[in-house]
Amino acid sequence: MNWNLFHQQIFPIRDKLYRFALRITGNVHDAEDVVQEVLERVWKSSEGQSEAVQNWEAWCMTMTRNRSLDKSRSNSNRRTTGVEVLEMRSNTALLPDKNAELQDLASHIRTLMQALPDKQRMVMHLRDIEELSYDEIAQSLELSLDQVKINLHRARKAIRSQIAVVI
Amino acid sequence: MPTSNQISQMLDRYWEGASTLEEERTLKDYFQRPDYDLQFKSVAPIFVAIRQEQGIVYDRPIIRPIQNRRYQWAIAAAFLVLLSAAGWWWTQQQDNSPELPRMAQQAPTVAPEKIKVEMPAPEVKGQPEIAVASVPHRTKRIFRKRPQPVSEATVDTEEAETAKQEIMAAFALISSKLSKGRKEAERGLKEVEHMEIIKPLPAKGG
Repeated sequence: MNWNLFHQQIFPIRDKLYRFALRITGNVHDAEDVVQEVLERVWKSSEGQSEAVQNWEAWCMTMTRNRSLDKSRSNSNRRTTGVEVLEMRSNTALLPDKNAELQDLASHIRTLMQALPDKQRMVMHLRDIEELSYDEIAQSLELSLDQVKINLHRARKAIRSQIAVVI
Repeated sequence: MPTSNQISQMLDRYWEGASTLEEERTLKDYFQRPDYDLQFKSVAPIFVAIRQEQGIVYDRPIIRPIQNRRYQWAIAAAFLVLLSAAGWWWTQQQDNSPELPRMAQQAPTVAPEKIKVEMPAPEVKGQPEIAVASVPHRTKRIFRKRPQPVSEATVDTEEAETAKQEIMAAFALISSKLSKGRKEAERGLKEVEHMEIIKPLPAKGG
């Protein structure tokens, strides 16, 4: 891939790739490794391959998902690590909120999201955090539109019911 | 600012998975406000958590792999030179080894007609027959180097054994150095390949 194409299409989505990898692996170091691997793979793609890819964001998301799942499967303590990581990151979030109770609950929400089944977790992340359309999510996760909608509905329902127990 | 009724309707669609991206952005914005309607207090943390996660950024440098083939060729060339030098040194050691005369004494005799075929150099015609016949597969090399006359004084089994061990030790040392050097070069090459850090292009007009 040439320099300009990389800067125009890949560089702006690096944060999305990282958040997605972090959501799946639940580990900062694994997520960073995944992003670097994906970006290297893009760099090394031939001119012919670059022309063949229609949607680089979806391609990178798919690659990120695959690599992250590989990492998380080899990481037995993913769940606990993931919660810790998200806690740490949330402390440096951009939106300061004076309501400590609300912050605690938000932290709990992240824990609940991390505990969702893989598909629900990925779909909810891509929709609510990355604000992708259903089509884009389906393309990135290689799912049908119906599967995307069902998983999103189930994920939100699960979060809602569990937060109702807490509050 | 949307009314509580509008927020309620948007939330209903959100739970059903039927809300639009625009509506979902409106909900996220709404629950960042300190004056949101407290009847939605139970769901506010969801949208606060989402917004916080949207603030996570990848702040690590992006490293561009560089495939510099010049280094690969240089390493390959250096390796070949070292290998050639080691080979030359090895053959020199073999030729000077005191073991050959000893082998000459122990080896069987060969037929005279074969001796004639394997003796191209004129100066070796006067050599003792037993010396020629001793190492039939190495005849050419032995006589090209003008071998020392075979005598009892040069055949010392203990010295030969010592020399052999020294040669083997020296060769093992070279081999280990070559291996270590190659590993160092490979490690260095990997680091060189990952040296360039990508930075964002400057904004146009800025």
